[in-house]
Amino acid sequence: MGANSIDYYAYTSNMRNWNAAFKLVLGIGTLVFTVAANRLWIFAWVFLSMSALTVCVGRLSVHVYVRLLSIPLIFLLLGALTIAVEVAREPLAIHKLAIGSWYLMFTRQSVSLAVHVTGKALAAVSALYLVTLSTSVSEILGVLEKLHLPSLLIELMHLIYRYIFVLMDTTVRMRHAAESRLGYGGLRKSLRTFGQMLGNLFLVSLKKANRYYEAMEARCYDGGLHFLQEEHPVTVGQAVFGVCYFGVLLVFLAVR
Amino acid sequence: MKNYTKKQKGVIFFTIVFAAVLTAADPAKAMHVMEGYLPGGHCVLWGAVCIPFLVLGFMSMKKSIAANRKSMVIIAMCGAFVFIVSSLKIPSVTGSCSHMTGTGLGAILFGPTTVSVLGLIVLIFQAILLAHGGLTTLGANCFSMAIAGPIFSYLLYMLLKKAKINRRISVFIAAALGDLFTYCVTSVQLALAYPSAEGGVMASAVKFLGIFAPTQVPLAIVEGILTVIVVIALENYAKPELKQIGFMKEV
Repeated sequence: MGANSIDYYAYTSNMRNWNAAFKLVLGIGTLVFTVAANRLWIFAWVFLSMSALTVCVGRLSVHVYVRLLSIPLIFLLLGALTIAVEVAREPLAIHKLAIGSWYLMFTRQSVSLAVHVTGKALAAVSALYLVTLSTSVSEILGVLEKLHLPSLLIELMHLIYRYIFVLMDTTVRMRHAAESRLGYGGLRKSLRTFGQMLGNLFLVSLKKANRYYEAMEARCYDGGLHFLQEEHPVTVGQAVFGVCYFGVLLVFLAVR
Repeated sequence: MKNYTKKQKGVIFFTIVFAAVLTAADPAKAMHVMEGYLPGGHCVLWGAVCIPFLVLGFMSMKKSIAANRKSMVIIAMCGAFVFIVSSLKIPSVTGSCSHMTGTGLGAILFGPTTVSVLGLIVLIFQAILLAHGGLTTLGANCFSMAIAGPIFSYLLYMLLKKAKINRRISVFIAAALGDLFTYCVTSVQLALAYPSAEGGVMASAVKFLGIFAPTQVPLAIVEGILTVIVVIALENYAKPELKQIGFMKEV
């Protein structure tokens, strides 16, 4: 969670001043559409359009975007491999690997399904990234609040989001302290140091919780947290773009 | 490569790709079902399965906050703690980076009802901030990591405690097996979504279990060891705090 995190890019995005609800509708609407769609070329369109928005309009560097896209790569590769490999008692394809009385092989159907699922997942991730790389967590929570989710849940999420950074800071300090004392020399020692660090982190976090509560009470906390939200109205251009984009998607869905 | 048959070449290529993937693999990340990976019906279904557990967790949380307002801050801190635990790179032999899931630790410390809600929030933040998992697969991930895994860990831990097994051994078993159980549930979820054309769901589940096993089994053992070390550290330094959250009542 440093200068290269998704959170950081969300705050520096050029689309930061867009209306948060609009961005969520655009991104999550596209996401739902992608999950419902079943054509490879639709996935390609969604992926290209969403990536273009994030990179060109949001002004995120392509290099960074590709690096972020590679985060779920391992799951994507392993998952595609698993779907592509067919297990059966009879050989269904020319290239097969026999294990006992079972055969492992790639069939036309299984490989095409794997490609299909991979394309869909990439399109979905690009839609998710449109939201997360342009909208800060507090703005997302602001939208959720307008949807009348239980206020306890929203407050809890606000607090957790803040505490994540507090604890991350503490963790980095503890890690440096341990590293400078050779706490991470060798696997055995590393595991011990790491476990003790987590134990200590838990202790520190509960201590901090107590102090935060005192600080909140001193500022008249009575069971409700209120956060200031910036207002960004949707511009006409954005609204037209949104309507056109979903219109195109709906036309695509209708085309058989 | 000239002296090899086509089949042998295929096998060699396959093993190279597999090895390359495994070396770079990040087991914990690998078990978050990725955004867009499940069909729409499955997303809704897994979400619906989660709701009763989440409502139950939310109610019990609300009750404890109504009784003592301070527990709000403590619960929030615990949520942030679970997030940090699951986002830190753990030391490993191969040099590949891997993360703890924190499921077992959370379940043992906070109990399965609190962990279900905290787990949901942590999963949302993981999807938003770290791109692990996703929003459409939130239901499936929530069921495997915030509900099934923690409940299994917790029951196992309680059972072993009843059987008067050494606390460290029971913590290790609860955390390691809870982790393995999470991975089994995820594999079944994926298998239900993509059943094998010949063997059906069962064959597909075996496929997913097999492919993810080399990364998940060592991770489960490491997670067990780490959880024990954390619990020992806590027992040594944090007894009053542990009593505050309800762990170690009997001590």
